[in-house]
Amino acid sequence: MNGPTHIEDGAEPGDGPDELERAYQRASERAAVRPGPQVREAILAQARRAAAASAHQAGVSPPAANDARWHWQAAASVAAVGLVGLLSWHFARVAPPSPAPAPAAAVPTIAPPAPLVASGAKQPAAAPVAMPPIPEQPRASAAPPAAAALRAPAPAAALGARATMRAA
Amino acid sequence: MRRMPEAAQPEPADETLMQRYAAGDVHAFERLYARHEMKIWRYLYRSVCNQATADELMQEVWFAVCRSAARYQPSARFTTWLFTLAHHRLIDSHRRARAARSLEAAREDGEPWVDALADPGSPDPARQAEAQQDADALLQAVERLPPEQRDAFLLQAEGELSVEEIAAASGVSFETAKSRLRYARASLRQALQAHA
Repeated sequence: MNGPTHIEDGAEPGDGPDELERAYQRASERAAVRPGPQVREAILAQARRAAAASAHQAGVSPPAANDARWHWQAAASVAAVGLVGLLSWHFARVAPPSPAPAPAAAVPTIAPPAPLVASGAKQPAAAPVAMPPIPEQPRASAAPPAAAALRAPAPAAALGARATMRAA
Repeated sequence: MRRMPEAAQPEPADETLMQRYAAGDVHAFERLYARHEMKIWRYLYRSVCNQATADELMQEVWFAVCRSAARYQPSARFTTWLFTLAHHRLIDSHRRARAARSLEAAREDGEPWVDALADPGSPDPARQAEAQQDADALLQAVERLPPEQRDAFLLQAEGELSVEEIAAASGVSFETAKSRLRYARASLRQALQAHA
């Protein structure tokens, strides 16, 4: 208990069991040098203050800065916001196909005016040339069916006019 | 003889006491302090050879222990950690003050040298006087060691650190620590032989 128990590493090979250290310890312990009395008091007072402070902090126990739950909650919030944003952007971009059936439904309403002009020109050959663009335009405009119905006659009329010009 | 009552009752480990103190048990700190007070102080005192500086460093070391208690993890021996703190404080002190250490300076502090060294039970005054001279010579030889060698030797003799622990505390390689220890011990042995 008195002497060191492990120190042979640094000793010369073949040395005795730390006779040098034991001699030093005897000499050092016998020396009447000691820390000043105020040192002990200051250290123990500091220890009490630190213990009281840590006990106070433990009583209050605010959420720890390194609490893993906080990170998970923040990450989940960010992920949720990102997901919502992605979905909204996706639907905003893909939304036009949903009104796609509308032009199809609107075609019957569009169709009648065009033939009226075209039939007035009496030019049946113009119909195959003019018809393909008609379904394209309402789909690109992404307009609601009502708006498409309102705008459709204009191109149809223009096509009809173009057909009449060609016929002429 | 002085240690017998302490050895009779089972003492909790240093690490356990430190963890108890971190939990707010001041008595655990008091026991820890009582256990290591003189070792740390002697390590500091023998390194700086000045009572006031040793006292100041002593406070710094133990204040650091108080501050670090909440973060203390018993990954290494408490003694190793404690002496590492002390070693770092010593280095800081050397850098700050560059104080000249000499035996004369230590004597000016009024150090009352040794009563008797070996064999305290010996009633022979001649033997006690001889032991006192041996102790005096040994302590002087320790103080005359180069700082690195003295530090290594004191970490070993006072802190009871292994060579690996001395290397870790000093921030040097195992071979360097071992070499310093070997030189220190050779110098001390040579000084004792010369004295004899």
